[in-house]
Amino acid sequence: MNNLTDIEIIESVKKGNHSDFALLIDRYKNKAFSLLVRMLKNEMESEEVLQDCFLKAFKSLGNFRQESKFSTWFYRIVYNTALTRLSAKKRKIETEMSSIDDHLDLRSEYDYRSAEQKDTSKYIQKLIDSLPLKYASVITMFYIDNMSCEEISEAMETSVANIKVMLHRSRSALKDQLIKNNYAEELL
Amino acid sequence: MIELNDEILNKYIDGELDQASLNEVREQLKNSENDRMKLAMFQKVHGELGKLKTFEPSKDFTSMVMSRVQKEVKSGQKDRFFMLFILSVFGVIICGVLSYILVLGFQHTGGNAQDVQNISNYVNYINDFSGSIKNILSPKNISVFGSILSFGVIISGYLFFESQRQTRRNLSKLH
Repeated sequence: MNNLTDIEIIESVKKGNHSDFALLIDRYKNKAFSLLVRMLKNEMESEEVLQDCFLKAFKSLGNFRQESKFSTWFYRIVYNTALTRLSAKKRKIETEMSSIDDHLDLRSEYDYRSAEQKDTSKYIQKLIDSLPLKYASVITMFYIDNMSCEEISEAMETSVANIKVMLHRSRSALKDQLIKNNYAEELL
Repeated sequence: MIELNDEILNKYIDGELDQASLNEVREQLKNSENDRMKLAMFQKVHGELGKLKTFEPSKDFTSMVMSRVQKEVKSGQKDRFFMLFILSVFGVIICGVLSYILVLGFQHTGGNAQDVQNISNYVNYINDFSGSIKNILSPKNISVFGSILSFGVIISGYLFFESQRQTRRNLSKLH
């Protein structure tokens, strides 16, 4: 059963085999959950939102036209649901969601190298967590979900060029932080 | 000699450079330690991003979602049955009213007059019936119906608002 393609599973669910939907849940829950945790910064809330997303996807399977991959379509649901949740909670989303031309500046709390941050990998992971929402979403979809820039642009409903800019800026910002905090010598 | 800025190095990592640019970049990297360091930093970042931690929801997540899906399916079936029931009831009522009109029409004609006369009487009866319907829907009666309906809407709105407030209160207690 696990060898079935997404489309085969969807067709089966549409025919009335509702239990097959569990295969799709198992296939995408971890990756979608990672995206939500990076966006909402709260695991419990992310799980709740993810349940809603799967339910929305189930209800809307009839509208899925197979013009794009199921994963892209589902990530659009996840991304938009997370944004709705964030705006409902009146977080400071406006600043993070503003134009691509905004200056990407990582938190100052990571400016100085502390004793705990001697491990470069851990330090980079911390920096990633401090990326603005949109950038973190792009990074997660690109590196964890292995989505192409085209698929990410479809999920986030923006241009491919914007996605590439965000991806490059994220890497550059992380690289600049490493140089700023003298990690360069360790790497060479 | 080209300047290896962030954009070029990002494209180099993503394999988006054409062969000519690629050769130039390689040449530049051979000659500049600073550029090699920049590239090493980019590659480190790229590598670390590839090792990003994947979060996992709780173990019973799939079963929880599936139970919600099953509930959704059941409530969808219930809704469909309810709609069918309502439509059937309306259908039966409409059929009953039409049959009643037909029966009354035939009784009115006595059933033994000539066909043309029957039809004419029947048409007259329909006209009488539509006249009485028009009378019921006269402006005066409509305003009475409107008032009753508005009152009903206000009461329903109030009850709905109250139930929403109660639900919100219950939810805030949960948090």
